[in-house]
Amino acid sequence: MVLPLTFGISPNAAICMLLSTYIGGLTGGSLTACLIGIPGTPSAAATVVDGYAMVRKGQAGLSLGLVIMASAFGSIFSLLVMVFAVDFVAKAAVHFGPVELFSLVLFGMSLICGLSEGSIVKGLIAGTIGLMIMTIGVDDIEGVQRLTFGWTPLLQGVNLVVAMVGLFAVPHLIKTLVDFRLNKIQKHQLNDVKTQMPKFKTVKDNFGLLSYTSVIGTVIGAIPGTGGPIAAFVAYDQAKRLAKGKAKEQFGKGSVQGVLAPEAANNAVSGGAIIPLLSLGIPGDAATAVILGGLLIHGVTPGPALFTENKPLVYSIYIAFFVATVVVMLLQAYGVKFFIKLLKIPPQFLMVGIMIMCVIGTYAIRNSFFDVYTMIIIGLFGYLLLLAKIPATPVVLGLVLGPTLEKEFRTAMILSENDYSVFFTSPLAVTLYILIVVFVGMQLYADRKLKKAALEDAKSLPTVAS
Amino acid sequence: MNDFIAAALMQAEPASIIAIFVGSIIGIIFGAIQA
Repeated sequence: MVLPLTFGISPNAAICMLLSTYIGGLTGGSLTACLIGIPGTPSAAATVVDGYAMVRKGQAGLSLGLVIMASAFGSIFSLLVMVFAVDFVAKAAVHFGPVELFSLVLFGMSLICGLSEGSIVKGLIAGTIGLMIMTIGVDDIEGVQRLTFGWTPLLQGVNLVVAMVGLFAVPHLIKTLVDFRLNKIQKHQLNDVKTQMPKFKTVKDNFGLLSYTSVIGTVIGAIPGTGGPIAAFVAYDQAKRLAKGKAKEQFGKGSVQGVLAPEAANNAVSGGAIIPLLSLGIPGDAATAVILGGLLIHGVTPGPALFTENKPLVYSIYIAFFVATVVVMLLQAYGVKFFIKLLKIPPQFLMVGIMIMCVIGTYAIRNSFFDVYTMIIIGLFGYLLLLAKIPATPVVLGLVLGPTLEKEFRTAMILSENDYSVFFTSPLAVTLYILIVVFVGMQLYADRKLKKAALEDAKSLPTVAS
Repeated sequence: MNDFIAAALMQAEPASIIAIFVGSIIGIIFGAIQA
């Protein structure tokens, strides 16, 4: 939703805004997780257990303080790993040819399975829709019209921003307004609270745990298709296993470690997810897929070439990441009362404001009402996807990775004079194909196991006698 | 080193600083609002 706001500002400022929104969103979700026991984002779900338990014990301020401190620790830890890893991966990737790049992007596309939210078929449908939308317009290599149906405005294709605003902002707006109309919007009681930062001793005693869970978050973040929720739950589980004696008994009842571990991990995911994004141009999770779209919109193409062509921009991303982490920490530490007041504004009012912003932002891209109409049509289509429970993120993945996938595939085909065996000549490419098969297989297995467990749960429920 | 100084100067622009503040506030609100 922040994308329309980045139009008209410099690429550097736009990157700053996108990164800070990403980092702010990660910790913002924990605000409600602690205060009202409802996670704002899935990544904050593990924090609810002990964070909200602390609030019920009358330690709301400390609970928030722990969240803020652990989040900042996780983010900065992952930033340090990111700085070293990104450079290393990018240096190796400079030598990649079209075959390697094709297999790499294909590997990124296999992320769709991880983002399918329970149904791989639905995820694949969404990914195909994204690829189809991206092919609209004139083909760059041969100049052939694709999916234009002879209609001139479609020759320029669908703008990436228009598609992203339509797919993410509009369906959410419609849903909120429909919920408001049907009186389905839940009202939460938010009490004023003063953040209490943890003592230095708490940080010192838990330094090992914070570092360990940050490593978990960074590694999980760097694996495409995983993300914050998995990292947070793995870290919580590890913290529980490592705890001894009285500390172990505290888990679920307001444990300090139970708040620190998931928060450090889910924030460390941010740096981890940016490693493949910056070095290879492959997003690590759903949020970085949107950031990738935002970077492309502003003429920044992440990948190995970025490191040779525009090194100051890479450094500025690192600096922006660090500054954003510090700003988010300070805002949450000292501005929590302001956020609580803002959260009391009925969401339907916020949504109307966002709609106006989306329309103005979309129009401003090319001063074209055609883009506004396209955004609304894609938005309505996105709402239908939402109703059909088809996730929108794979559509975006198809949109942002589709052009590179096609370009590298066709370059490899042209260079090999249409010999398909060229795709199996590189050891790295073959390794990546194997990884794709393993990755998809694991997702299918996990899906099947989940459905089986749900079926067994349903069977074990007592039936109501008629 | 020169690249790093250039990057730091880019970040010192008022537009970048405002962008970080605005982005952080929006991020925190929308991260929380989904509840």
